[in-house]
Parts: sequence; C-alpha cells; structure tokens
Amino acid sequence: MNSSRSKWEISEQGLSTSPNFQIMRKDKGEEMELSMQDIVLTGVVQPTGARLLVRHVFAPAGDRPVELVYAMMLPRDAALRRFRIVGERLDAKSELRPVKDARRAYERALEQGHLSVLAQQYRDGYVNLDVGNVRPGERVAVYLEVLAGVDLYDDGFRFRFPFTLAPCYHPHMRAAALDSETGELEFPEAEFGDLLLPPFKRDASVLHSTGFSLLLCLPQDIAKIESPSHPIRVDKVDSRRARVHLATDRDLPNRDLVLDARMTSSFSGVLCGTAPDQRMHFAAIIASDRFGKTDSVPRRVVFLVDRSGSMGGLPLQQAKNAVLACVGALSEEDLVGLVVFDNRTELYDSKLVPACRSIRQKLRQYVDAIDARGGTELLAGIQTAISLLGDQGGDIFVLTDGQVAATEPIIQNAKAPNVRVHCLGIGSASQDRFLTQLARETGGVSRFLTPRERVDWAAVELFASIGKPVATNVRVRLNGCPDCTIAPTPPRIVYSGHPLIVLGESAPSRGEIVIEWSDTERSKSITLPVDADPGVDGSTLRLLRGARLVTDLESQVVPDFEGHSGQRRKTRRAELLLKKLGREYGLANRYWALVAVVQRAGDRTGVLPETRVIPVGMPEDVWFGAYFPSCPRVSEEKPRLGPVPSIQARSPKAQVFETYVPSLPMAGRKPQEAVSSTLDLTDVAIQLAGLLEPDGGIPGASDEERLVATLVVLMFLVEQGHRHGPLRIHIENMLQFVDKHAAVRALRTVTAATTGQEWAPAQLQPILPPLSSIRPVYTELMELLRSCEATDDVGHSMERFRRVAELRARGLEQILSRLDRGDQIPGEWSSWAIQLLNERQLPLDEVWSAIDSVLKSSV
Amino acid sequence: MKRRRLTKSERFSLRELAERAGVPPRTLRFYIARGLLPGPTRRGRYADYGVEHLRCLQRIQELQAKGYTLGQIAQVLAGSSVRTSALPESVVWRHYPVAEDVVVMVREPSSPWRIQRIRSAVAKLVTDLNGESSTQKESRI
Repeated sequence: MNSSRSKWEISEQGLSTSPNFQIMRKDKGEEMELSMQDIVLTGVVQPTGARLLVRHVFAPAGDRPVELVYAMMLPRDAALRRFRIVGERLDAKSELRPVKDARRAYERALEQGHLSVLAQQYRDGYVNLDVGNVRPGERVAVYLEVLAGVDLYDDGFRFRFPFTLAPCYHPHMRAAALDSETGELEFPEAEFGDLLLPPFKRDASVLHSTGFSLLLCLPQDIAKIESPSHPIRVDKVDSRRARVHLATDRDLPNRDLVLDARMTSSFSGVLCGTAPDQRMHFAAIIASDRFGKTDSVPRRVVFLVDRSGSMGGLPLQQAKNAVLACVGALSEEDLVGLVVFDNRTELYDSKLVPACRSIRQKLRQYVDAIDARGGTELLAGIQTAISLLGDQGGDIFVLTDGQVAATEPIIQNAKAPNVRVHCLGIGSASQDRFLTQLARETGGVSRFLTPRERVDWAAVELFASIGKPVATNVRVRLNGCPDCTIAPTPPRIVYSGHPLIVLGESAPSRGEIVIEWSDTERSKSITLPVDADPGVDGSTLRLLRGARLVTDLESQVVPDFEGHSGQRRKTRRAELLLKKLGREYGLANRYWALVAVVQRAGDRTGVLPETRVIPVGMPEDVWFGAYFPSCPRVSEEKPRLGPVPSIQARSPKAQVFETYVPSLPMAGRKPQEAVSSTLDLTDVAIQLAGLLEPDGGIPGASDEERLVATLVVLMFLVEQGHRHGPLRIHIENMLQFVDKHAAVRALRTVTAATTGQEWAPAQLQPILPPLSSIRPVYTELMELLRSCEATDDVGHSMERFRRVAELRARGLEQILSRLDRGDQIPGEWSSWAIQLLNERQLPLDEVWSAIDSVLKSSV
Repeated sequence: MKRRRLTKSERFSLRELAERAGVPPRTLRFYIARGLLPGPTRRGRYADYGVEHLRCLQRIQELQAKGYTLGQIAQVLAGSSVRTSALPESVVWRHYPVAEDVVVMVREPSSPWRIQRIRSAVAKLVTDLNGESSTQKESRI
C-alpha cells in the first residue's frame, strides 16, 4: 500500500497550497454566499488512466446546520475509491459499504446531529455527494479519490474531467425554468431513485470556482500538451512528465476540463507492475501503426445525426458540414443511409442507397434543411439505423451531444450482429462515459470534442479511420504467465489512430503477450514481453482496470421497464458481479457507497438540517432554452381558449405556427455569418471535400471544367497540407478521377501507340513515364492537334483535348509525384478554390494560365 | 409502504414518515427546505410529523406524475399568489388544423414527453378524420 499512500498524501499537499477566492456578485459587487466554495482537481494522468483527488470545500452561510448535495457525473471508465473529510479538529476517512447500510449510517448520523458524508452512485454515472450537518461557520473539505480512464490515441491521449453536468434528455423528465437564470431538471423517481440533479445556472460566474493541477506522465517524450477548454500553464518536470495548472486564478463550472497530451512518436509497450495483492497487473498498448492494412471493401454506412434542441447552433452546423464532407469520401460502390432524429426519427430513404451523383446531391439538400428541435431519442435512431443496415450489417456513424439519460438500454439495444456504432460526441460537458461505452460495446470507436474545436474535421478523420480497419479478427493470448486473466475482452477490430489496449493480471512472472490477427492472405502477429517493472505502480493499474470493469458492467444493468424487458438474466448477473467487484477492488458502484460519520462535541439530536443542492453552470455551448423553456406561470385552471383562427390550410397535415425550440444564436457566440466572413481555410477544405462526386471529381458543366476544378481543389488541398490528414481518402479519389479522365486516357492511348510503352496502372503512384521520354511524343501530338485546329467544330473539341493533353504532358506527373512525396505545391490556390466553392464556376482561361505558370516554374 | 388507517392524532418521526410514504428521508428534507412540505410540528429532539404530511406528499406525487417540476409544484401548492408580475405572462398556443373544419390547439411549452403524446394523439385524430389515405404521411413524420 506504500506507493498508493504516498501519492495520496503528495496530492493533498498540492491541494493545501491552492488559494481561496472570494466570489463577488457581478452586478452588485457583494460577496456571494455559496455553500460550496471551490472544486480543485489534482492527481496523476497516464495513458492507462488517471488517479485523481478532487477537493470540494463546503462552507455554507446561514444560522442553521445544512445538508449539502453536490451532483456530479463520472468521467469515462471511472469509479470512486474513497474520500477523506478534513475540517477544523476533524479528519475522517470513508468506508465502503453496501448502499443500504451506507444510507442507514448516514441517516442515523444526521438524526443524531453528527457530521456525515455519503457518496452514492446512481444510473448513468451520476453521483450525489451528500455532506450532512455542516454547522454554521464550519468549513469542511472533502477529498474524493476517483479513478478515471482517458481517450488513448497512438501518440498520446485526451483527458476529460467534468466540472459541470450537462442536462440530459429523458422522455419522462420534468424540466422548467425556475426563474430567468435557473433551470431545474428532474428524472422519474421510478428509474433514478432519489437522485438529485443540480439547479442549472445560466450564468456560471456566480458559482463556485474550479481549478486544477495535474501531473501528466507519458511513456515517451512529450511533444505538446494543450487544452481546448481551459487556459493552462505547463511546467515540465522532465522530458516525459509535466505538471499542468490552470493559468488563471480561477475558472467557472460551465464546462469540462479537456487536456491533450501528445508524444513525439507513437507508443507500443506493456506497462506492468506488482500490486499489494501479490499479483502482476499489466496494460498492453499496441499502436495501430504496428498493424498492417486491410483491403478496402465497399462500405455500408448510416449517418445518424442528432438534431435535438440541445444541438442547436454551432454544434449542429458543424455536424452537418461533417456529414457532407464524409459523404464526399464515399465511392460509387458504397451504400449509404441517413437518419436524423430528435424525439422523432426521419429517414432519408427507407433503404441504403448507392452513393452516386444524384443521391449525393439529394443528400446535400436534405442535410442542409436539418434544424435543431425536440428531445434526444437516440435509441429509436439507432434502431432505425440498424434495421436500415439489415442482416448484412455495417457501420453507424453517430453525431450527437450524447445528452441523454437512461443510457443502459441504449447500449444494450444498440448491439446487433455485424453492426458497429462509431460515436462523435460534441459538447462542453461530458457524456464521454456513455458514448465511449456505446462505441466499445458494439466494436466501434468514439471521439468526444468540445464545440470550441473543429467538429467537422474530427468527423472526417474518424470516418477515414473507420473505413479501413488496420486489423480484424484480433486475438490475444499470454505466454509464460501462469494463472492469467485478460479482462475486459479486447476488441476484435483495430482502427487506425486508435491503439489496441489489453488489460489483465497474472501471477508474477516473465512472459509475453501475443497479438494475432488475420490479414487478407495470411495471419500475422506481434509479440511483446511482459515483465514487472518496479517503476510502474501495480496497484494503480489494478484499480484502473477495476474501474473499467465496473463501468462496463454497469451498462449491463438494464432495469425492467416499458419496452426493455428480456434482459433480466443479464441484469441479475451484472448486479451480482458488481457486488463482488466492489468488494474485491474496493471501488464504489451502484451497489456500494462510501460513507463517513464524524462525531463532534456538542452534536445535538433531532435538529433538522436545511437541505441545499449545489447549483452548476449550464454547459457553455448548450442553449438554456433548449431544456428550460421559460414557462408561463403554472396554474391548475383550465386554459381559456382564444378565438379559433380561420382555416386557410388545405392540407390535413399539422401546421406549427410556433417552433418548439427557437433557433436563436447561442449566447456569447458569433452568428454563423460572422464566422464565415473571416474565412477559415479548413472550412473551405471541408466544404470542397463535400462537393466530391462518386468518381472523385468536382462537379462541373463539362468534362474539361470538371478536370480543371478537380485539379484546383487537389492543389489547394495539397497546398494546405492535407495530403496525409483526414482528407487523404478524398485526395486519393481525386487523383483517381484525374487519372481516369477521358482526355488523359486518350493521351495515354496515343502515347502507348507511338512509343510502344505500356503505362503503369494508376493508383497513387506517378503514372507517366519520365518526362524526357514523353517530350517527343508530346511535341508530335501537339503538331497533329495544331493541324486539326483551325477549321471547325472538330477543331474546337481538339482544342480542349490539346489543353488537357498539354497539361498532362507538361507537368501532371510532376504534380502527382509531388503529391506522393507530400511536398507543398507552390502557388496560391486558395482563392481559386474559394471562388469555386462560392460560385461553382471558374474563369477557365485564367485558371489554365495559372496552372500553366505553376507548371512552368516547376519544370 | 404500510397501508393502514391513520388517525388524525398519530405522530411519527422523519424516518417513519419516509417509510410510510416510500420517500427517502433526504428527499423529505429537501421538500421541507424548498417549502413544499411543512416542517415538523415541533422542533428539536421530539420533532414529529403527521397525517397532513402524508397528504401533502401524496399531492406532490400526483403533481409530479403530471410532469410538474418541484418549482412549479411549489407555485401550485402556494396558490396563485406566488410570483405575480405587472405584465401578464404570454401564452403560446400551437394550432394544428387537422381537417377542414377542425383545429386542435395545444398550449406551449410542454415537456418533450408531453409533446410526443400530443403529437401521436393528433396524428391519430388526423387519421380518424381523414381515413386511411393520410396514415402513411403521418407515420413518416
């Protein structure tokens, strides 16, 4: 236990130095009376997960004892381990007890006037931290130890910690604005028990402060550490460790903390250590670039877009752009579907459709018309998508904020043979836990972004990697390690960018882990040595694995209600296992709670404390009105009917004169127009990529126009450095289009006829013989063309042909080879590309001469 | 929850009230703090609760089942005297002309759950009024 204890104390010392702040009311300049003063996050974050210590300081005002309830959301793969209460002349540690016992102890302590703290977990990873009987003037700090997972990439990870809670949709939720600044949300007691959700404040600046100081440890040299959510200060400890602090004095509880750590290269290896239970615990991380490539097969993919009210504004706009860009990466053999949902589900078509030109055009129009409204019936959407994919299965690509409650039935019902659900989460408050599980349980991958980042970009990136898994049918075994367990079951499919993670334990020994997978022809394998390293903290590895197992099991507890029966046996099994695991790992879950009772001098029996729930800030990107429509005063009277309007509509379809969720711009956010006025070239790239036809070309009125437009876009994308990024599939398709173009092919035929040389099949490789061998052919060809030129219509078409041929002969192969080497193309293609995007027409002559000049300069 | 007749004079503790009503003690304390439930009749060691508390809890549960939040329930329980403002609150109505001669009006805003129910009820009404032809149309919405 030594190593863990020392960490626990080190982190606490770190906490004691953090200053206290007085929060003032903005409008009046008065000191705010807060029941909870601050949350400070400390701990160590590693690729295997994070071991965190969260300090909550409670110092309620008033002249009565109070009971404070802080509601929070667990991060991904997380579990509570223990807490410690520290105050003046008091210091106590928590005990892990079955929920019923813990509650009884808490209630009894409250009756007797003692100070008591209870941390209880509910469905969906909600936690209520109850601090009962804090006396007037008393100041109590609760240090909560949390184990949490991270989102691991080949060359780093993303860590997320919730400082607020997103309101979530539940079909039976009760939500209303208490006043213009506060919203209240309640879930049905039948499903969520006595869980208390916090009041949501529109303005988080009147609330408690947040702060953090974390140690990031990476297995290789750190390349960079960034945060898309908070201003940070990074102090490097050494090349592989860095301490990350909040750069400002304090921050607001209106969004998650998100930290990105990148290493200089991708990492593969086995982290292995011995824990006090005398077992060897390991986490093997195998970067996806260690696997090969699989053949690309035609995709069967359904885009599932969340249009619920909470997506309104920028998130939905970004999701729409993302879908269009992903559609651009499809080829003609691919089958595609589109499902849009809020509390209703809409289908683009009742079957999958080939991604051909006319369909793409229609898809674009369809996506353009999507607006935000209503609730989030994700399960209905997924089920529609599954039935669309049919028996053959395929991929579902979900774009959502994941703000949905009662997630266990969704996860369990999203499982279908051969169907993988990939999630792109968008939001500033974490639904990370849910979306990670949803993807993982179905064999998919997920990413979660803040709306401050480019969602469309990440979507295209994720879409590119799910299209071509790097390994399928993955099997893992351990050699030379007796009594070993590998759990949870590792995924069968590995996607590029996302490493394979294998967790397990065995008796202490030296052995090796073997990962096998089948390629197109033969089976392949990787072997990594497994050996306990004294520098690796085995007990933390053990706890992190425990937290992961607990989280996985919790998604299998599907309570019995309307529409979701038939899982009783599975639920029962999961419950039993959770009860066992809680005891085994010493981690809280839905059946085990943490409780502590402190008897103070002068505690009086029978004093009823005043119960207060600590408010949190509305997540900064979620529009307040999406959940809390400002209500007219509620009365029990029957509403008086106004005059019936005259009927003008002939259609029997319901007409809505007032939209449910007005599409107002988000507070503090630029409207869409303002964003596009300062042109973002990444926006241009994404939108151009979305224009791609199934043959890989940009649309145009004639063949020639299409070729030019495609070349412009191609060169623009390369100029912008997208050769190896998420748009790589788009670029491949465009190269193929250029290569297959009629004019180019004609030239190739002529060349073959005159030189007798066969042209190599065109993929990404430069397809032309060296320029020197082409030159004479080219000259000859030009002569021929010129002689035809002057006369008639034939001459006109020959003119077009000549230009293409000229372009091709003079430099296309150079461009191709440069593209292939990943070089920058000289010249400024952006303005052409933007013009193309805006007007869909290019002054061809000018473009030709521009291309010409570029080619001349490079020849 | 034990069901037996209570006499008006019977008194019990918070824990007993919780057991009888099937509402956890913390929730009861929260209701008291929010003014939904009257506090104990006496303070201190012998704080007690009676049948009036049970009735009140029953009323709260009824209102919750109707989709009211605790804040709204507090308003209802306190009568209309709460939160009077000089400007009358605006009321938004949705008009669904479901047939040539029928308009359904629904007051906004309601909870999404409620909206869903209303929608399906309106859809059914449309179907009934117009025969089979519009069934498919509505089911696609």
